[in-house]
Amino acid sequence: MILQNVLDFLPILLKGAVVTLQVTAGSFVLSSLIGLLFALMMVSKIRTIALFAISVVNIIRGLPIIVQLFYIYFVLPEFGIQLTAMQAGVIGLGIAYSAYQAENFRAGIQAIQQGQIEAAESLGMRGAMVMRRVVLPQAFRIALPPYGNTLVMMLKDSSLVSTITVAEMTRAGQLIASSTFENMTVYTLVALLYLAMSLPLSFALRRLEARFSTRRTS
Amino acid sequence: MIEIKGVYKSYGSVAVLEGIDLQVKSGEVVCLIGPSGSGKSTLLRCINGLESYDQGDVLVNDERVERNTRTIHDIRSRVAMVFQRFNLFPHRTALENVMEGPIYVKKENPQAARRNAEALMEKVGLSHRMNAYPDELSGGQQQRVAIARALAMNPQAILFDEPTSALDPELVGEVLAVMRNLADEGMTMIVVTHEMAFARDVADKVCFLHSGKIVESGPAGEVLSTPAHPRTQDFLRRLLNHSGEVQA
Repeated sequence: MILQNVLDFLPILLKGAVVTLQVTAGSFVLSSLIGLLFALMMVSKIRTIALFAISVVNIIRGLPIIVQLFYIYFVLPEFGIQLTAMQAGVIGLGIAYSAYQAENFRAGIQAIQQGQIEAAESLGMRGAMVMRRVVLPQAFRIALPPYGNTLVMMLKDSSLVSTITVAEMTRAGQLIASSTFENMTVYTLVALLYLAMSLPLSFALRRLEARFSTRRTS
Repeated sequence: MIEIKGVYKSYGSVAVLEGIDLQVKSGEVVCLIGPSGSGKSTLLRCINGLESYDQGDVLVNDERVERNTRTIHDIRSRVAMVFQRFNLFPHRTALENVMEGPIYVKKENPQAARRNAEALMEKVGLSHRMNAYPDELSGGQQQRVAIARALAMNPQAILFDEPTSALDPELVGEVLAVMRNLADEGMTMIVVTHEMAFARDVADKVCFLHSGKIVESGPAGEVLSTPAHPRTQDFLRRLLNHSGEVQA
């Protein structure tokens, strides 16, 4: 009986898992790009730019992710911006997490010793090149552990987009559970499937960190 | 080629440089000596605009050095710097460190830059360590790579900021040997150093700084053997007692 349920539910949940991975990947890339932009603005020598970025990051961090998702999915249409649930989910999660990514990158950038920047400047490098050739490559190595953590958190928090009807794994589970009342089977499967994704991911990240983070930074 | 005229600098109310005048001709080796806090490193860093100054002029080939101006990058690519703590780029190999400036700043052809970098690694005695990362090299080796990195820019002058102060004593010699060779080849060098034997043998001119002023300057032999100023005498006596170095 249980086995039959598992066999029935699993294909539906796996379809949801694919969507979960898509949401995670999309919002991770988006949050990395926006986060990097914020981080660069936060370390800018121009105070207005830095203050602006710090304010935006604080506002984003101060809002619950669900509220941000609702706002993008339900409120933006009133301003004529129509997004599919998937688009709204990826953008919402991407923006919400960009604040944390900004902090990861900012910490990495600020950990670079002044001497590195002086050495680059002494070769005649301009600011943007100092960033690109000397600071960022080292900052990424330093930021790798928190960056990886963020990825794992995003995998789990992608379940939040179920609230705006994206058919990812949690949503798929809810739908099955409400029609079959097999709550235990469904949610145990959902939990196991999340673990099947997050644990290997954590392990892979640990390996990557071991290769990069300790060596080759100043 | 380098002219410093009436340079003043202070951090808040603390004066660091109080009217420095110094001329360095092409091919000259000038050593700046003096107690810590006397302003020698700050003076050196004003020459390539790593520090700003409040008054006076620092000129490189008659071009004014000023931090945060458009010309500063160009001046820096012609006046190289070697740091106390090497400051090699840890994420790049020794050879890549040497090639970095020529390829990305001077936009040289990568193959030509590589050949030149290999020749420079050979020149500093490290042709067997070209593909090592900085953390795989000793301090002396790292500093020699840093000198090769400076030379790769084909600079008109090299500034050395206490290049041997962070080294274990047994590694100082290999770095000074490379610097001696450069001096012999006619490289213009300004060296902040505590190595009096090096200053005596290699420098054309020695300047003794105290409290932001050059209190005594002249030919190395004169300043180091028969210092006229009591501050210089006192500094050299203390240094002598400490290191047991043989006086000229």
